[in-house]
Amino acid sequence: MIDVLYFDGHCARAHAARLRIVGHELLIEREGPTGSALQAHRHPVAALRWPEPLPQGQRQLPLPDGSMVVGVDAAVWDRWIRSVNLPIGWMAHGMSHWRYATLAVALIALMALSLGRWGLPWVVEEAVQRVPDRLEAEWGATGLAELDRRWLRPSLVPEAQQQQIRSAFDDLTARAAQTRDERLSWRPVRPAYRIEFRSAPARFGPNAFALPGGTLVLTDAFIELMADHPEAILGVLAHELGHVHHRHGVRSLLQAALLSMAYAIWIGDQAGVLATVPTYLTTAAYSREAEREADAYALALLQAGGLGGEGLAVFFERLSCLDAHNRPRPAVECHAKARAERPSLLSIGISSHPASSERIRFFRAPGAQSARP
Amino acid sequence: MSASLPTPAPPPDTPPQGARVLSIRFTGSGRGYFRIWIFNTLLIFLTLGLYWPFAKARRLRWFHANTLIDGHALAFHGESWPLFRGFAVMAALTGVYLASGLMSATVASITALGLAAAWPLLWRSGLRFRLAQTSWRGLRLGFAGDVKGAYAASTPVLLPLIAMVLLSALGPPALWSGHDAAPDEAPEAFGVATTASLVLTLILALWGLARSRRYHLAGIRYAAQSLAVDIGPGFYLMLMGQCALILLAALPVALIVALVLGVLPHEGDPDAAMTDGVIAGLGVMLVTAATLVRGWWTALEQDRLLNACRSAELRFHSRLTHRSLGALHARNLMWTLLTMGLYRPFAVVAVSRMRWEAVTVEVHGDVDTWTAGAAGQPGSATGEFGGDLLGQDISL
Repeated sequence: MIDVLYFDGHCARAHAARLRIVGHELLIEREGPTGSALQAHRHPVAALRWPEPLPQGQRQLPLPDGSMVVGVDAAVWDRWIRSVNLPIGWMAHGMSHWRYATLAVALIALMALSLGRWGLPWVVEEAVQRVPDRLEAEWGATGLAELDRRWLRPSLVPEAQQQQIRSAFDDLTARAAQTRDERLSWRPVRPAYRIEFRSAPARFGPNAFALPGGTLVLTDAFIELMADHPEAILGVLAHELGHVHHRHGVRSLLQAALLSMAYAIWIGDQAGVLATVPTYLTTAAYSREAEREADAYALALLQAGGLGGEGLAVFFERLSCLDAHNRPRPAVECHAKARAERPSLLSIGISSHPASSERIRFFRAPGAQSARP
Repeated sequence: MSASLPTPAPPPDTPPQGARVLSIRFTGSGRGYFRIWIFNTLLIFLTLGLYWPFAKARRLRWFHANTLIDGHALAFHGESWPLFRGFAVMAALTGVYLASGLMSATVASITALGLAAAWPLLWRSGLRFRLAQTSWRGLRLGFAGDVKGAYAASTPVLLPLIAMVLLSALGPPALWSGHDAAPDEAPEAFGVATTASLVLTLILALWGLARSRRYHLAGIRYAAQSLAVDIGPGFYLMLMGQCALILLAALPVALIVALVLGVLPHEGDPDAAMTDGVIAGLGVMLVTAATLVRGWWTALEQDRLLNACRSAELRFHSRLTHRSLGALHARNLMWTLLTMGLYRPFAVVAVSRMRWEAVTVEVHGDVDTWTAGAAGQPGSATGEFGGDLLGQDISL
């Protein structure tokens, strides 16, 4: 038996009481309201919601009639529970010993590692494969419509030049398709694409981007920057086609959603603004990976079509040397800057793209040259 | 062994009409909570999130059972399966919202507006559930705030939100710039309007916050007690000013860090120096906001609300500003980062203890004679998880 407190649920007064197990019933004996007579309540043991033996805290046993029994000393209560052989659940067992907690830490670490390395990419891959092409095309169309409404204006690049770029890229992809290059892993036909030209606000800079479904968009500022280097324009289109082929748009959406859920569980429900930091850093890391994939794809496509990576190297050089208005600076200043440049861990850490210097090196590497003499 | 029962200890020697001061003690420790937390987290991961409501029930039960007011602990009565149902409903609503975002901007806007309109209902429901499932000395608490009050309290915050959703659906360029305007020109009128609307939103948010706190506290019922508190947006304005001063004081530190991490490693490369410097400096400001500012805001608000809060037989005293909650947040952050999150349960317990133990309750009258108030509607657990979703505080 054990001494406890009893609350009747109607009045806040605490009554002294005593618990006893008799057969399959719990017996609660307490002083009656008049003071002397003993009042007893019986409840079947199996029907009660016994409190879990959690570390610390008073033991509270609510009764079906709205009253409550309280064991003020958790250790005394737990000893009594053991002495009357009431079963303790496996869950409570797991929480009561440090060795299980240590095991749990190890398990979570293992799960986090394997999830990050294999689990998450696999889940994302499976989900991405199941997204129908039609849905992607719709997203792309909606996306472009939104951009056209908010920021983009019709291109000022002459129609003839636009057509020239389109046919040059069509030729490139046709030649590449004929070589059946392994690195491109194209299905029977090359990925479907459509090239659009737009004029964008100056703060967007010389830019090109791909939308789900295969729409590749080039900004006028970009055409202006690389007008003297047509190979670069083709190279950037190839890079964007790489994003389409690998379906990076849909992939990053799914990754971000799953990641933020996982981090939310780990950090708990009251984390505030700092909770977004791990999600952002991991998403940025995935994004850099995606850019490297698209770069590799671009190089493969260029080489399969008989070109090399020099054009893209020049593009990244110019891109890393723009002034405050996103216009190219004189070559002399750029060379001086390139010499002084050292990799910056901080800005790379939060950046969605790999360092320009890394990409320039990639496209100038010995194996990246054109096959033609 | 004697057959009579031991009598409970007699109350301390105070005249029955005098006020008795009840102290609050938090008996839980980080070590104790860690074992629960790690177990909960493991199960949540293993069940891909489905275990969340059960984990929450266990967490609330432990925190309640360790919060001793005058030696008697709070109790949480929420049962697992009703909690799970509420969780499922909230998850479904979230799913609908996310799916609508994938379909089209219009559908997303409509769904957002619908959810915003339903939010006060969810909030009230969550408050009712949480309070009805909490008891002290065997008597349940309750929440008596009405639907009208919930909407009145939420409108100042919801209105700017709804306006933003509508504006983004229509698109500012459509409203402000002509069709022939060059893409770069942002009309000055647009800039001024943006700033004005931001200021307006801020004022509305502070006003809404004051109203929400009043509504929340005024609705709490225990026995025959009901609370009244007097607070206005002016207090929050002052609070914001003080927090801005803290951030200002952190600026020199941010600049020094920016110099050390940004400028020095990148001499000769002004672009990289600028980028790194800005990131480092912003990082310092962000950390200051998440620790010192957050601690100051919480402490001042808790003290102000509780010290002004009173009922027929209750007064409250809170001295949280006398402790350094901001420094605690900073220590917690450091250890949490160093341990990759494993310190989190210790951090949560430390904050809980500091906040609870700063409060004392003054009772005029005899608690032993208090009886249960009228039983109210229990509310639904859906609102309980709505709070989880947006971090809205529905706790005591």
